[in-house]
Amino acid sequence: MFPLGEASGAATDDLARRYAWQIPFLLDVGGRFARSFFVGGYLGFGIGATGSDARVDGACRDDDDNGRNDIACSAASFRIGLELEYSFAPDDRINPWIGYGIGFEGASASIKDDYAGFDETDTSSGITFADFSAGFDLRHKVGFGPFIDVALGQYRQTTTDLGQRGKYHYTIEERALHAWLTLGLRFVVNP
Amino acid sequence: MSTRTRLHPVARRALVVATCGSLLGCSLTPGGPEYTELGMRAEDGSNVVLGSACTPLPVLPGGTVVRDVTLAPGLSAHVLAVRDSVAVTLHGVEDRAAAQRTFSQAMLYDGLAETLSVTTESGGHYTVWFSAPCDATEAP
Repeated sequence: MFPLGEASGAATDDLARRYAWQIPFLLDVGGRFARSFFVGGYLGFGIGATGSDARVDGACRDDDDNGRNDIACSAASFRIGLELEYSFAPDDRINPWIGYGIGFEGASASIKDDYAGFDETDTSSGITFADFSAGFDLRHKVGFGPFIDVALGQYRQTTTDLGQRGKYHYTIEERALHAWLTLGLRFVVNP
Repeated sequence: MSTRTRLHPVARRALVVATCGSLLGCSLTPGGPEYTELGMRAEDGSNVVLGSACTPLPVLPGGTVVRDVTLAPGLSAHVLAVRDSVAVTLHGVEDRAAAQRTFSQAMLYDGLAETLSVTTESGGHYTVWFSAPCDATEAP
């Protein structure tokens, strides 16, 4: 899962500066109607590292030699929503499909500096207003196949949790468009 | 029976430093970000502190600290801190043009001590201190 676009309208606030690529886990649950249509919900989360920002990258590097990880940095994301899929050949061995979804999403980045006693977790959340997906399934008892997914969204608020130094909520005034591009394999139970 | 030679802690530390210094890339500290805070406090004509606050700057991109601080009767501050800078807007002062201050993260990291004399709309006279490192304590 790869970050694209801007996390907010602030200068140089690219999504990729906040979050690196992530390993996603997605679950779709729903039912078919009219044979070719699938409607249901999706739930996903991803885990990865902080982004390409040089200052954070340098700060997250624990370069002493005491054998302990004094500075830990990580990032994660989640999304949940509703989706509709259309299968072009639901009764064939190879079934191309397309999908569209809408929902909520969020992403967070954390740094935990045990050496200096500093914690920070920033979580941004907002709306996924267009989640386009497409792929094809090789259908047996269990279907599987590759897919591509592009989730367009916009963060609306940010919570900055500084541990003992306070927790602060901020409504993003300068919003911008971003996307998460996901490539992967999916498995379909009872295709 | 065995005998062990105990090194004085200072000598032990010196030995560690000397050993590390001889090894390429050896470091005693893990690095980490540059943490900074902006301190604010308001004093009246008698140098009595009426209100104060420390506002930390986030270190991650996207982190935002927004807060409103009451510094004195009729005088408050809206603080917006991001990783590169902190902007302060004083509310309740007569001279609104002078009521805005922006400090970069580098200014705070290098050390800051600034004062601003303000007169509130209700006629109060105060001195507002901006400092880094923060030497203020949160007002009760």
